[in-house]
Order: sequence, then C-alpha cells, then structure tokens
Amino acid sequence: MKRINLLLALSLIISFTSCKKHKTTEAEGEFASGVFIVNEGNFGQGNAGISFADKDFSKVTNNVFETVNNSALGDQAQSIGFSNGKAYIVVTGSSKIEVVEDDTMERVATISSGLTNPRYFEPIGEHTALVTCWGDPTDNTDDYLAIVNTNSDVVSGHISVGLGPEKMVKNDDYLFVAHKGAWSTNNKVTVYDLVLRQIVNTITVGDRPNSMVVKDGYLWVLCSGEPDWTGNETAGQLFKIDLNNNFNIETTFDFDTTAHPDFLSVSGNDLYYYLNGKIYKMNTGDTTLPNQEFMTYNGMAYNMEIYDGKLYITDALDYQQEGSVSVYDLSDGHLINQKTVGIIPGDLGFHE
Amino acid sequence: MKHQLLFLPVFIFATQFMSGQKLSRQKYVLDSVFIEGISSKSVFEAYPVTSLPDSVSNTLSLPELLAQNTAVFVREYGKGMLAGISLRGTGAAHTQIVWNGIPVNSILNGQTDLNTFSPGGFDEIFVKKGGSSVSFGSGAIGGVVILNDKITFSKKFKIANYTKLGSFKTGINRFKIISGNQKIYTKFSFQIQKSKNDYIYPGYNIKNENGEYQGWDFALINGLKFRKHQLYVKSKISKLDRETSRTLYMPQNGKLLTGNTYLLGGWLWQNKYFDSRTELVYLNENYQYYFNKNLPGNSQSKAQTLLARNLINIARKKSYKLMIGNEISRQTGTGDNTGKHIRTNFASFLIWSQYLNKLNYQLKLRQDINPGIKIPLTGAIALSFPFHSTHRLRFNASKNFRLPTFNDLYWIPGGNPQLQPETSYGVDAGYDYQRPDFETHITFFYIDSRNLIKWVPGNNQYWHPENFESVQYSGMELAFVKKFKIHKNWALSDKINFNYNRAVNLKTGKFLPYTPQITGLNVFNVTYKRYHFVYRYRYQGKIYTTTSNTKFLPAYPLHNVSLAFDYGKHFDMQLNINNLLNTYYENVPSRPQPGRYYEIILNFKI
Repeated sequence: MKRINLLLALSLIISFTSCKKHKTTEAEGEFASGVFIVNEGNFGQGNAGISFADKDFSKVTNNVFETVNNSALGDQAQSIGFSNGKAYIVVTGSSKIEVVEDDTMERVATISSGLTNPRYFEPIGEHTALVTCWGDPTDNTDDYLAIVNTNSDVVSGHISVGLGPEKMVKNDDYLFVAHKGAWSTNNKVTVYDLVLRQIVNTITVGDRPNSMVVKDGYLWVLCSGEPDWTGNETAGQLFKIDLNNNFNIETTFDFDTTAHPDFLSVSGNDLYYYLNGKIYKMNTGDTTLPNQEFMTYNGMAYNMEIYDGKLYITDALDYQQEGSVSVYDLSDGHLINQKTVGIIPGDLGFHE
Repeated sequence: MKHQLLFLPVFIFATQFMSGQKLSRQKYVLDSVFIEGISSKSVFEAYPVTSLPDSVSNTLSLPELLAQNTAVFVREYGKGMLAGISLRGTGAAHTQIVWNGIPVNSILNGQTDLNTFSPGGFDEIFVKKGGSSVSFGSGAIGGVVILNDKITFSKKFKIANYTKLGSFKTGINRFKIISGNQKIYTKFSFQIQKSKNDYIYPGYNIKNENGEYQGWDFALINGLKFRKHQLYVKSKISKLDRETSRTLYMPQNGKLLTGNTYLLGGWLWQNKYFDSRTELVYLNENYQYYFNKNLPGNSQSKAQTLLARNLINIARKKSYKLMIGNEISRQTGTGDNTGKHIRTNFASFLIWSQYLNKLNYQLKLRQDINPGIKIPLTGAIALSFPFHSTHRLRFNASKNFRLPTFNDLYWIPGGNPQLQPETSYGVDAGYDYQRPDFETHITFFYIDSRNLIKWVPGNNQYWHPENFESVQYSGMELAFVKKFKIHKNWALSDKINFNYNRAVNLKTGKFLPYTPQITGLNVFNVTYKRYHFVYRYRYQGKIYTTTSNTKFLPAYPLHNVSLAFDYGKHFDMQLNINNLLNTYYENVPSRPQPGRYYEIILNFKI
C-alpha cells in the first residue's frame, strides 16, 4: 500500500489551484455555503470521504456523503466540481462520479459507464461538462476527456487526448487541460475551443505541468519538472502564455534544477506557489521569480488553494490517519484555523 | 511504461497461538538430539510451539491451516490472494517462514506470501513464537513458521490421493507417494489447484471479480543411508498464477505470477559423540506483476539465494549438547524498481544446551558479518523448569534483528542505502500443565523493537524508508485442551486458544494499525465410531485502520463445521461448511472474504 501511495503521491500530490465557484439560487441547504474537502482515502481501502467546513474552518463536519447517503463514497476520491445545482464528486479508483445535490449532499445519480480513472470535472456549458480520464494508467494511448451531459448525468461521448490529462482551467473562449502525465510524465497543455467544441492547439510546456491559472489574457502554467529519482532531473518552470497571440509563450521562468514547485494560485494580481514547505508570492508583472518566501508552512502540503483572500493548505500527515486543513489570512499570513478532516485531504470545492 | 505496485506492502500485523506441546522428558534422549537439524522441534523445547496436525493439511492452504488450528492472525487480501502472518502483533516481515531449516522470506520485501505455500506435502508444520534470530537470522522477531520434510529409514510404501471440490469452482488435487527401506527414502508430492474464486461479498451485490487463481506445487525428497552417512536432496517447486481481485469499491484487472524453486542437498555424518550436517541450498523467487492482464507491460523482480552451511552437534554426555553452526549466503535481487544488487552474509552461531535435574537451559550466541551493513551480536537464553511430571515453567529472552530488504535499500524512488538493521529484545515467560486428557498453557510476552523501518512521505514528493519507529509489543497467550472419553464409541474434545496483544507505537502511544488486539479460537470435536464432527468458532477483535486509532474494522465471529466419514484404511471423506452464518468479514480494509461456502474432500490411501 505504501508503494501504491508512493505512486499516488507522485502522480496525485500535485493538485491544481483554480477554484471552483458555484452560485446556487435555490433554497439554502445545510451545505449551501462553505468548502467541501475531498479526502482521497488510501489506495484500495475504500475510505474516501467528503468533509464540509465554513470558509474560516471554524466548524468542520466529516463524512458528510456517507452520513447523508448511508453509503461509502468509494476508493480514492480525487476532486469535486459543480454544475446545475449539483456537485460532481470524481472517484478515481472506483472509476465513477457520484452526483449529489450541492446543498444537501443527497445522491442524484452515479455515473460509472464511460469513465475509467476519472480525475477532474469542469462544466463547459449549461448542460455539458468535461472530465479528464486516464483510462488504464499503464496504457499511454487511451487517455480521454469524457463528455458528461449534466442534465441526464450520463457520459455522452469522449475526446481522445494525449497522456495523463489532469486539471483544467477555462476562460470565456477556451478550456485548457494540463497533461501532467498520469503515472508517467508529459509536458503538454491541450487547448479546447469552447465555441468550436474541438481541440484547436497543443502547447508544449515544461515537464509535468501541475497547475494553471488564467489571468488578464494570459495562461500561467506551473511545471514541477522531473524529480531526481528519474535519473533525468529537470528544473521546475513557470510559463506565461499569451492567449491573444496564438498561444505564444511570452516568458519562461526557470527554477533551480532541484526545485520542483507546485500549486499555482492567483489572488488579485499576485501569483502564489508552493516549494519545499515555503509559499512564494509574485506579481503577474514581475520579470523574475521571487527570492524570498511569503510565508512558511510547518508540514508537508498535499494541496494548496486560494479563495477569497484566504490560503488553504491540506496536509496528509502520515497518510494513515485523518489529515488537516490550515486556513491562513492572505493579507498577513496569520493562521485563522487548523482542523482535522478525513484521510489524505486533497481537492477543495468552494461553494456559495 | 512500466508499473510497479509492490507485491506485498509493508504492514504491521498481529498475533498467534500455541497448544499441544509435549512436556515429555524422554525427549532429552541423545539419539534423537543427535540427528536434529536447526529446525527440529526439540530445539525449541523451552518455547511455546503449536504443532499443526498433518492429517488436516493435505488440501488446505497455509492461511486456512493456520486459521483452523491456531489463533494466529493472517492478513489475507481476499481469499487466495496475498497473505502475511502476524505473530505477537508484529508485522509480516517479522516472522520467518522456514523450509527444512532454511529461512525463505523474500529478500525483496522481507515477507512470505503464505498462499504460495501448499502445506499438504510436508511431514511436520509448527509455529514457534518468540525471537529466533540466533537460529534463523534476520526477521525472526515475532516467531517462525516451520515446515519440514522428514526423512526416515524404515520399510514403508504409501500412496495417497486427496481431492477437494468446493464452491466458486474450486478444485485441488494432491498426489503423494512415500516409499523407503533401511537405506533409501523417497517422497514425491504433487498438487494442482484451480479456482474461479468468484464469491459474492455477503450483503453486497458484488462478485469477487478478477479473483481467479491456479497453480501447482511439486516436492521430491530423497534420502540415502550407508553406515554413518546420510545423503539427501529436498526440493520444492511451485508456480501460482493469480488475478488480483477487486476490492469492495475498486475494480481491478491485474494479475500476479509467482514462481518459487527451493533445492537443498545435504550430507549428514553421524558419530558416537558428534554429528555433522553440511548443506547446500539454492532458492529462487520470481514475480511478474501485470497491472492490466490484457496488456503486455509488466514489472518483474526475482531473487536468488545460494547458501552453504554446516551444523555440528557435540554431546559427550547425555546432559549437554553443543551446536556449532556456520553459514555463508549470497543473495542476488533483481527488479525493475531496484536494479540488481548482491548481498553476501556470513554467520556463526553457538547453542549450548544443558539438561540438569530440574532445570534445562540453553545459551545461544550468533554473529553475522555482512560487508554492507553492521549487524549486532545476537543472543538468547532459554530456561525450562519441569518441576513435576505434569508441570513446567519456562522463560526465554532473546535479542533479534531484521535487515533492511532490497526494496527498502534500493527501491526507485526512495530506497535508502543508509538503513540500519532493526533491533529487538524479547522476553516471554510461561507455564504448562499437561496430562493426557487436559492441557493448559499460559504465556506472557514482551518485545521492545527499535529502529523499525518505516516508509514515510518526504518533501521531494516521494516516500522513503527510515529507521523511524519504536514499538512495544506485549500480551498473553492462553491455550486449553480437554478430552473426554464418554463411551467406547464416543470421544469428545475441546480446544480453546486466546491471544491478547498490544502493539503500541512509542512515539504516539497508539496501537499499530492493521493488527487485532484479540483473537480467539474454539475447536470442538466429537467422534462417534467412524464419524468425526468438528465445530470451529473463531473470533477476531477489531482492527484499527488508522494510526490515530479513529477507524477500525469491526470484530467478527466465524463458525465452521465439518463432518468426516472414515471408511477404513483406504478411503475417507469430509464435508465442510465454512462461514456457516454467512458473516461479512475482512482482515484487510475493503477486502471481503467469502460468505457461506461448501467443500467436499475425498481421500484415497494405500
């Protein structure tokens, strides 16, 4: 299990940072406003779960899916997304998506047909969403985007893509898919045109693109680079890509060869990323990487996200017990709250 | 792209048991002492030993054999899948499996998958609890499981065939011939097995998909005696192809192919005051893991051990004995995740035994020399006070060790060549009472293990092992056997085993996960003429699944019944109903075991 966790740690540890926002207009349920924490759970042990907290993490409720639906969530929950008043919980190991009412957590549907190792969910239209899927992780040629009809909650088609599609971000025109490479490695970002509904470009970036943000006409892609154990260690890189100039890479920021940054986020005009227990901050207009960290985290981040002026860090601790989430005020870096959640807390879904 | 999920992960497990040991003083007769090897039972007379009856083992898997006769905890990933043993709360890598005196735990991960051993071919199987590094080196911390082929020189000719047919399209056939006279001994044993293994998880509408397995197991034992000399060859070759079954929540389509070859050649030279046993051993283990059985890509690992050893027993009087052992081994491990590495080890040990009137004692010392790693001097003391013909007190203390495995040292990524051996001190004290119709055995134990190797997450995004953890194991083992002869046609007996153990992480004060604190077994036998009825009740306490002890698998009771008909010398049959109440249970999270299932066993003998 440890080895498997190791692989998971390798392939899954790098989560992405764009925030999922969804505004509901329906009557307020118990989970109408707050943060869903996706607790991945251990490989093969079927102990994934969803926790729910208010945005300050003053109160946390664990195992909300299990409690509401009187049923286990499954094996290795990877992420949560929102569409049409529903939350889509992507469960990689069980190769399924649990669809629940986003304010009550009551199960609406389970999508399992057409999904093999699904990773992330992103709505791209009123009744359409895309889900990145690895297919068989030992087969490098069967990766795809599943097209989900969010009205009927079935997979209605799929689009073949390159190896290891992971997190997605979008603006009004395009959806970007980072190919971190699943259990292997890749260095591509797929550009999907939301109007033409087809893939229009593939951008080559650095090794293992792990997180992206879109800001003011630019796509920022953070790549961790190849880790040392591959025998082919490469430096982390940050790419600034001009969306109004044929996806040209305008600037490449190179890290040291042994530096493998992760978890790119944006707040206002500031980018944030995580590197070896330190959080760095740079302005989108900066021409060099920051030398000095913005703050430090006393632990090992499993994921880091920013939402509404707050920085959230999840920590899996020893991976064999309930992990924690720490919430910091981005204005001064002070700790607002630290709370125990479920086993291997990863993706966060912000909901209001 | 190659993918390598490790075959047997590093777990921490639990528990074991004892019963049926003999107090008999005639064991101290030197003749039997003279020919004993390192794994003969009398070497362990001060230890709690559970012998497993060979009559039940002919078609059982090793996990089934242990579960039916001991309260040992076996951590099995669903029926027929990977299975590791846990003695006294320690991990699967802390119990050595010993084949004819040779420790055979994998040098890659330090463990033995119990389902790769078919016990039916062996003449003697027993579980010995407590540290045994002096005799068996690395890894014998919780105890050892010993499987012996015994060569005897007397006129005999036996042929037997055992067939088991059971639920889930399970079939096993074992054929065995034993033949010999005053000069020659031959045993041949061959087993094939196959199972669809598609049981339904009780209470769920889910089948155990991708759980099929098939395999064979071959053993040939030959002995030749002329005057003071014996030459012998022992061999065991097995192959097991298993799909890797789904979990409760996760479909799987992988498979694991396992092959083992064990060869041993020996020369025993017996004299009046000493005997010398020289052996050459070759062990080969081979694994191929397919994450997707339909795709060609796999990950492979294999290991070879070449070992030469000499054991000398010296005993000029009947009251003492000195055993001197020397061995040299060369282990080669090759894997897609580790590369190729070689480890050479030299070991010398002394075991001094003295039998006084009301006190028997043993002193043991062992030193390993290994160019790559510093191994501490290990030693043990064993005391036995047979103060009455039916009562005995015993005490053992030992220092033991476990070497880092090749995976710990060389796994890419994370392998840590700087790892040091785990060290462990263990003591146990016990009382035995034994009469033909009643036995009681009580043991208290305490083990302090330091520098335990644990894989921990690192800032560099991958895990690596460190000499990280300190654990205290403590507990109690109870066994009672009562036999009644009610009438000339009726006999009853009842056996109770109860284990309590605490495996506590010294840093956190919490119990180790994946280890039950309590296991119990009650076996009730009724014999009426040629009919034998057995009712087995097994209880397993809750098993924590988090290091914070916040979650656990619930305790469960398990009921099995079996009825056997003995039709004279040449034929008997047996009907088993396992998990009578169709209880849902698992020893590993999300790995359900079968509900109620049936087996019929047909035995022919000449």
